Amino acid sequence: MKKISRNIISAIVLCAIVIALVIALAVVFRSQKEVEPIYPGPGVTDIKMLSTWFPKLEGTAGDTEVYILDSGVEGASMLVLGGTHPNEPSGFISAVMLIEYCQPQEGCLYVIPRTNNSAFTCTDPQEAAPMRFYIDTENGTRWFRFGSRATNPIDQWPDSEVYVHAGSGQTLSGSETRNINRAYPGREDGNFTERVAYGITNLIQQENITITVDLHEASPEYTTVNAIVAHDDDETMDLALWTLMDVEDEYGMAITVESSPKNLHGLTHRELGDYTDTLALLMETANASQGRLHGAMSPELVVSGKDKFYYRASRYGAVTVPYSEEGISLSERCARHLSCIYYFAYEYMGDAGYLDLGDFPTYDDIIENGIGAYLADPE
Amino acid sequence: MLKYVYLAIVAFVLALIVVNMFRKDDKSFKKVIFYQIDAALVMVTLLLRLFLIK
Repeated sequence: MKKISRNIISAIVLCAIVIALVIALAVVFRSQKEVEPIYPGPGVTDIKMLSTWFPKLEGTAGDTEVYILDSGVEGASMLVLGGTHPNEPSGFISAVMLIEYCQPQEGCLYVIPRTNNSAFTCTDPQEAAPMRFYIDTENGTRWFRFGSRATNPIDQWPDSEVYVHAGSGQTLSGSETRNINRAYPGREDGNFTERVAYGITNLIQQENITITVDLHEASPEYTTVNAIVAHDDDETMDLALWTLMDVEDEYGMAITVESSPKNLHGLTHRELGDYTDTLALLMETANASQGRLHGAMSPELVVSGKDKFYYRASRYGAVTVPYSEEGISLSERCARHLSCIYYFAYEYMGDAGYLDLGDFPTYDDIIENGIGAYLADPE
Repeated sequence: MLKYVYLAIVAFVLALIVVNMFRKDDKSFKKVIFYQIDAALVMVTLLLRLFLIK
């Protein structure tokens, strides 16, 4: 009798501990739903939600802000996708910089900083990733979320064993079911991630977006890094190659141009080029915090990109980009993205007219002053 | 729809675990407490998913 009562008491105590733990963990996990502030700069003329172009997204975690920077002068348009993968922060921060700093003089710029809004609300399992990282501006420190590569499983669960891309029948690992950059052009009645992709495709079609740039990062040992991936039509390839020559001539910035593989489906540079009239481009920079070789994960690693294990690996030729003891900072990664965005606009000479992004910092300016110098101060 | 089927499965497994924790057992208390701690750790993850927190 005594033994049974001890069992019950221990069960009650353990259940109480479980409830306390769940409450404490819920507070931590829920804190990642808090949205970091973005301060629209003087160039922002309108802020709409993605549901404007696909009403089924309204009220869901997939609905996301679209910042419109309209010069008021007719011309070409560009859509910049940041935060496709929220664990690739240079894309997100470059998009924020455009919103807070850029003032187009001709044409119209559309910026989606959190393309996969849901993926900002969680981190990837078993990566020990920080939930936030910090950037110093002139008068304070800004915080930003470090999210996951894929949609939060809370919003789309369970994953199928095998992901089948709806348009092509291509099969991939089941975990790619929640990767928005395998879901394009999306489906109106598809899963959560496919619906968000469908919303973006609708925006591009309805607004006749001339150029679409999807900003990414990859690990320094990955082969497609410090690269522009362009849809394989002549106009897009020309734009990418002219940009390559500009950034190499102006800044000595080493970058490659790769043609979008015909048989790799679901990605922006393939499907948006095939299904819409936009010139579809994707960019990759080298992010040490994303690779397999880095040491302890921390917010500092995300921002500084400095890791002694990657430096050692580079000396053995195990990385595909130059990696010095100083690492590859977030400022340098953003400078690469932003310089190419500037030259994509500058070099566009098509029928849609001109796109002039106005006063814009150079690659060298961003590296010298840091990306924080071009972000708004925290309020 | 499949999400709710999975949530129902999670709720069912959770209920089994809780019932199991409180059942009478002839094993020594030392053995039982370790089983109960194992069960409690599983309960944390199941509850976080059941309430769609994580």
